[in-house]
Amino acid sequence: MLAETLSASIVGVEGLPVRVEVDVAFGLPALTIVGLAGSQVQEARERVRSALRNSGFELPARRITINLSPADLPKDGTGYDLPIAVGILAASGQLRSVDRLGKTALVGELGLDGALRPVPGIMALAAASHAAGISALIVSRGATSEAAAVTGLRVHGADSLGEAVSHLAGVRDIAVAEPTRLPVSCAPRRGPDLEEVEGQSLARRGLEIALAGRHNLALCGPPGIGKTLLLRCAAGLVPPLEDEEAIEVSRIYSVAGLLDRRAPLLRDRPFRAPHHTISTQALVGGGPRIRPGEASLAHRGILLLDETLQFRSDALDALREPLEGGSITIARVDGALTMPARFTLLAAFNPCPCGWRGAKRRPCTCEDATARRYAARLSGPLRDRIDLWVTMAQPEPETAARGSVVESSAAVAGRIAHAWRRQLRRQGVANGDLPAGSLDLGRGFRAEAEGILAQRGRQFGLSPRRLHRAARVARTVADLEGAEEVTREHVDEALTYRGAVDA
Amino acid sequence: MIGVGANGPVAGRSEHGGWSGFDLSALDARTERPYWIVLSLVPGIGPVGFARLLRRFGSARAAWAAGSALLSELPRVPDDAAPALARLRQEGASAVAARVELASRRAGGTIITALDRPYPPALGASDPRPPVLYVAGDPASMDGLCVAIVGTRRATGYGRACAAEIADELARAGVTVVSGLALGIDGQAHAAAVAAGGRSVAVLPSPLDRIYPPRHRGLAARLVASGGALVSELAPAHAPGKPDFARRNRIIAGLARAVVVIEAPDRSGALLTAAAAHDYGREVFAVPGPIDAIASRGCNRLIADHHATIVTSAAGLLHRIGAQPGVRPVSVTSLSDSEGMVLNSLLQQPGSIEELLGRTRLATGPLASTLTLLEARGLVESYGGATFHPTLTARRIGRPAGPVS
Repeated sequence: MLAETLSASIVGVEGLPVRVEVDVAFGLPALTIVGLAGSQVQEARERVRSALRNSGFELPARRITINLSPADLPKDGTGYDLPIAVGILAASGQLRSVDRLGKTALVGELGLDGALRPVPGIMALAAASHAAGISALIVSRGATSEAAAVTGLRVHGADSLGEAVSHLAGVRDIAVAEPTRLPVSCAPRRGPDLEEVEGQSLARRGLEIALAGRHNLALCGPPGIGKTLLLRCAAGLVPPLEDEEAIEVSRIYSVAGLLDRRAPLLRDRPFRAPHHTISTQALVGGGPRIRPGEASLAHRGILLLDETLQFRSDALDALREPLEGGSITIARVDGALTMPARFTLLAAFNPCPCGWRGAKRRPCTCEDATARRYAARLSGPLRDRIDLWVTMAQPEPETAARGSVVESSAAVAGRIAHAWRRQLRRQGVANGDLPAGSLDLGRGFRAEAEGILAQRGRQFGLSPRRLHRAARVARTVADLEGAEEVTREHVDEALTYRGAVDA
Repeated sequence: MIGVGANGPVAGRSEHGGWSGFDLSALDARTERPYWIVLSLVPGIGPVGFARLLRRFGSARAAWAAGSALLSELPRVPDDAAPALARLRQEGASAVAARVELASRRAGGTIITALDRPYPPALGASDPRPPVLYVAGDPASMDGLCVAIVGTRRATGYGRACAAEIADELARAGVTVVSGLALGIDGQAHAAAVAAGGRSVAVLPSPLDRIYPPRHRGLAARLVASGGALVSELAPAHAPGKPDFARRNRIIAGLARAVVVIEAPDRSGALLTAAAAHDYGREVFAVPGPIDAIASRGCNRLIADHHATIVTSAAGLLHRIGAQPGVRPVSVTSLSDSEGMVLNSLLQQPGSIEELLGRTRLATGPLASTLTLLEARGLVESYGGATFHPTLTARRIGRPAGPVS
């Protein structure tokens, strides 16, 4: 007899509906799983065999063939245990009522005792099922709140195979889980507070502009000057995720298995600070089973690369694509896969290997050629994608003693949130996310400002691309001030962060 | 040696193997030329060795005719000298000379021997002098008053500002600025001289067809285009190998009436140029720096040890070398209150944004905006660092022009 159950698979960071077809036929007893099932799926045979027996069902001594359709899509993971077990029960007549079976997706790993366990990526699987027109989903009880974050889908949390089967048969219903609500956006401020950073006003201001317009920022300076501390403050300066963003980001974290199952929806904007020894795959995603990398985990948030020049150069170069397009495409023999990765890049590095090049009171011990090679690790195309550059120097003793005005994170975060709202109201996206060429310089750009921009381009020898980036930064400077129009002053401030044309 | 005029070789140097006492005018430049060129290609025959050969054989032609015996006259003979000489002899002096002449023309230069009219007079009065120079551009740019500006490749903003200011002032006064085309101070001095409409001569540590550092190829082309010259002691397409900084530094010192060391840490190449200038009897100047600044340690020591005259201003330097300040077009610039305040503060003392915030009480954003405006108007320069310096133009506006002692 033939039966079919519904489930879903993860492709990149998206879910894809999968049908599990079970055929129980006469022949030598066997259990075969086909449809590009990976080793984790193959092992389902043993788990299902024991789970069925220990739940009071029986595994028919027949020739059982299981096909996971679409059969040309590689599948892995342990979430197919439940649909396979239920499929066998339906095909062998142990589960007679199949009304609910056609409308309910099943995802879960089975213990040998028949217990139902959660798997990663539930949110993406639930969303894919819902999108495919499936109205209900059975998952393990522990994963219900993650699945119930998808609105419009009826989620049933079962503790065991037996409970799931009773529900499907209509013998004992499992109540629909409460939809998971977005957490209120008043999470405690993360990271250090700006108050802890001494001086470095230009770098502070650069960070404020970068975060307010989602521009990429680079800080260069000697060791111990506060680059890392300053950039770590960024986590507490950005507004929380918008509703749609929260679901989008949570889904990525769900696939990566990084969600807290009790509070599965993220509100805090991602802040990722991978160590510089990270591999290219871990940074941009990949691996035998393609997993989202740090760049995707930083989607809609911040990617901090501390000691940027110590990162592998191929890893850095792999960031060019997401920095330009906001997504990462991983090409494989059997097709390409795209994952979202639209983040604000915060980079911090020393000017040379010893760190003291250009410092006044301490000699640099690096060879010139060594220092040049070091700086060249940040390739030209990557440099081009950094909007704001700030060179930090050790403060003169008398300046440090005087202590300039030090603002708290709360004050700066307020301005950033305000500027952010202005941008979203005006154009729907942040200034830094405006695709190249789409920034309408005529709108909100005074003729004066436009003229100044062109003039400065000639005076400072800036390429059209750099000018365009400066225009976007100028727009953000104006937004921070609450100004409708960009003026000469905004353009000039934006150009302060243009960085050295020739090092 | 402070204040020694540099119009001729210092007496009593001939025992070191100089040219003194040997009359070059007795030689015919045309017949001698190929032998000068070919002999200068032999490893181990530098300015000193060449002078010895002339004194011993009377002419380069006679020295060449002596064959490998000429090597025994040299103070030090490197291992590769004999085989190299044998190869050159096999090819023949005139063939070698023709080949090198062609290579020089291809590299955009000409060959000038010490017998030729365009040989720089300052170098001709030096002892010992390089027998053969490869020159691209106008050799006449070296005839007038030349002053060398040298310093570290790892220049600070202060050093760059000083180099630019002094080169600018010299160039406007009609003085040719000589330097070594290196990164840092050298490049800043060349660029400022050219920007001021003046002439500048770069002495290369490499042959003309292999400009070093490659990053300054564009600058080298600008020097030539604006009436300056590139000078090298090494034959194009002949001597690959490492750039020869010691020879370069000696020529710089020889070409110049005075050498100004802008910024030099301990053991800087610029200090070797200063030492060579001493040997040639040129006056040495040094720009002082803060005593805690690493990049100025060499300069400060030169001054402390009385090996250099202190430079207190560009105008003062002009006065010392006897040049008249040039005319400068006065641009009328109207500044807003905050612009004037920032510029005045910088005129009192260069500073970082952090320091300016304390002095001007402006907010970071407006201050940054003002600085960029001043930079665009050519009144302020940061030289890629965190410290902002007023430019020479700004100083002229902020301070009445007058004699500075």
